[in-house]
This record gives sequence, C-alpha cells and structure tokens, in this order.
Amino acid sequence: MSSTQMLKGILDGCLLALIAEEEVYGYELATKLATYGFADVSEGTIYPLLMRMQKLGWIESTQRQSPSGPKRKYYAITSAGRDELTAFSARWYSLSASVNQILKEE
Amino acid sequence: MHPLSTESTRFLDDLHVYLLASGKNEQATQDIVSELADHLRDAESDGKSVKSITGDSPAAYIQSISNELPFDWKGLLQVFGLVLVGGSSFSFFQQLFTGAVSYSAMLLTSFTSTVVLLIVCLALILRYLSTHMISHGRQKLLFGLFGGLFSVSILVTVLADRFIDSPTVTFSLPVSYAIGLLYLVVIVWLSVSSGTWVIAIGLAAYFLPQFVLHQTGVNGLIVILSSYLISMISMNLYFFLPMLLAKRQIQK
Repeated sequence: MSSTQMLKGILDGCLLALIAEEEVYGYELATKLATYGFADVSEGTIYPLLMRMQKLGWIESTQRQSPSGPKRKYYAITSAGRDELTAFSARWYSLSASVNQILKEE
Repeated sequence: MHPLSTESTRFLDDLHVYLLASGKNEQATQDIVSELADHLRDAESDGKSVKSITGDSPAAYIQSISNELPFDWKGLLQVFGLVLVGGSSFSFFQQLFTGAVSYSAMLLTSFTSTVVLLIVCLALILRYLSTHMISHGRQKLLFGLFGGLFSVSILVTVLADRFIDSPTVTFSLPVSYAIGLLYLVVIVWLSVSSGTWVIAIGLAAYFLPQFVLHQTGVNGLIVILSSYLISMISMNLYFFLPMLLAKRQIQK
C-alpha cells in the first residue's frame, strides 16, 4: 500500500490541525504540509478536501489582502472544526497506539 | 505578478469548461478557478510544474474538484430558459409580424425536446474535450457531428409540425401582442441575469430592419434579403468588435 493511499483518511485531520494554528491560504497550506514530510502528496489534493470541510462547516474562508500583495482566500477553523479536530486526535492516538503495539510485537 | 505558463492556462481553461458543462454554479466555478490560478502562479514562480499540483492525471483531478461542487439547478434552468425563449422568439415574432400567432402541440413538444437534446449533447462534448487530449481534426469532427445533429433536429422539428396532426392553439391578435410583450420582458430579464444580450441584439438586428423596410413599402424579397444582411452584419459586429478592441488594447 502506498503512503498516498494510507494518507487519504488522515489528510483532513492534518489540514484541520494546520488551519487551527493560524489562518492560511491554499499555497501556504500546501507548503506547510510539505515541510511536515507530506511532499509526495500533490499540492492540489488539498482543494477538494478544503471544499468538503467548508461544506461540513469545519472551516470558513474570507478574501483578504496577503502580506505579499494580491488578495487571497484565507481559511480559518470554526468551533465545529475544533470539535472535529479533537475527535480526530483521539481516533489517531488510539489507532497509532494499536498499530505501534502490533509492529512492536512482530 | 508572475504570468501563468501555457500548460497552467490550458488546465484552468479545461477546469472552467468542465465545471460549467457539468452544471456547476458559475460563481463557485469562478472562485475555485481563480484560487487555483493563484496557487499555480505561486508554484510556478517556485519552479514547480502543473503536475505537482494536479498529480499524474489532470482529468481525475478536475473530476475530484467537480465532485465537491453541488449541481446548480437554478443556473441550468436559466440556460434552458435562455435557449428556449431565445430560440422560439424568432419564430414567434416572425408570425406576429404578419398577424396572429399559432402553435401546434407537436411543434412545442419537438422544439423543447430538441433544445434539451442539443444542450445535453453539447455539455457532454465539452466535458469530453476538457478531460481528453485529442487532435484538432477529431475536435472538428466532434463539432461537425454536433452541427449535423443540430441541423437534423431542426429539420425533424419542422417536418413533424408539418406532417403530424396535433391540437393547435391560435391566439387572437391582442393576446398575441400581450404574449409578445411578455416575451420582451422575459428576454430583458434573462439578458440582465445571464449577462449576455445576444438574444435581444439578435432579435433587434433581425426584426428592426424588416420593420423599417416594411414601412417604406419596398418589395417583399428585398425586405427579407436586406434584413438578413443587416442582421448578419450587426451580429458580427456584436461578436467581433469587442474582441478586436480587446486585442488592440492588449497590443497597446
């Protein structure tokens, strides 16, 4: 199984965590994701996920001037998004603990 | 601002066409296209390629974006309304020009079915072209087939009306004028809401010369030929003049 396939279910949570740190625009978010080691993920992958998270009410967007000049669409986390991030963290820690335990036993 | 490469521009054009041909909301389409344009501009100035954004298959990426946008029923009804009203208005006003208006059930049914068929076929062709790299020859063939389908459907509509009996409604002259007025109101409303005045200008270009020449008492054939010529010139001016002006602006 490729890391891209493994990532599919957890990318939402990672994006939420990055947006929770501070308001970001698309390119900034993709660059941050790459610096955390997700360089294999195509940068555009984030947009369908951002659109879905916006529909679910986890994030919201506003158009405003970026420090570098042009207007950008900035994403911010909502309170529903924070709840989802908490639930995601709990699921992730429980899952990674189980996987780690199995791998150690092997 | 960093200019976009040809590859990026083509990808954004394909995305735009695919989303609109899939019945997605125009504003939502515009939003995601301009957001991706910003992203591509930044990525290219950092030396990245389009593939690093879309992955190996731009077509699959376009579909993944499309899946997240809801179907815009209101926009679709607007397009159908524009084509139905626009297409039927020429025949309606031509009849009104010579007296009361009448329509058969067969004509109304076959015309509506033709409009639905043509819009669906055009949308499918545009969706296919925006996600498949095919030669110019094949593109021309596809549009040629669409043109053929368009001509055959219009011919079938006219023949069905002529040779198949069906209930016909004939409106009195005052009612015909009232419907004509309603047509004009709907055309203005559709033109304002869709942002294109092509139908209003087409109608004016086709019927105003006829009306003026009719008042002068000129021979019938001359009236038809002159109004046809004037309407063709006006429509060409409407379509090509803005393009020429824009081109000159860019050259300056």
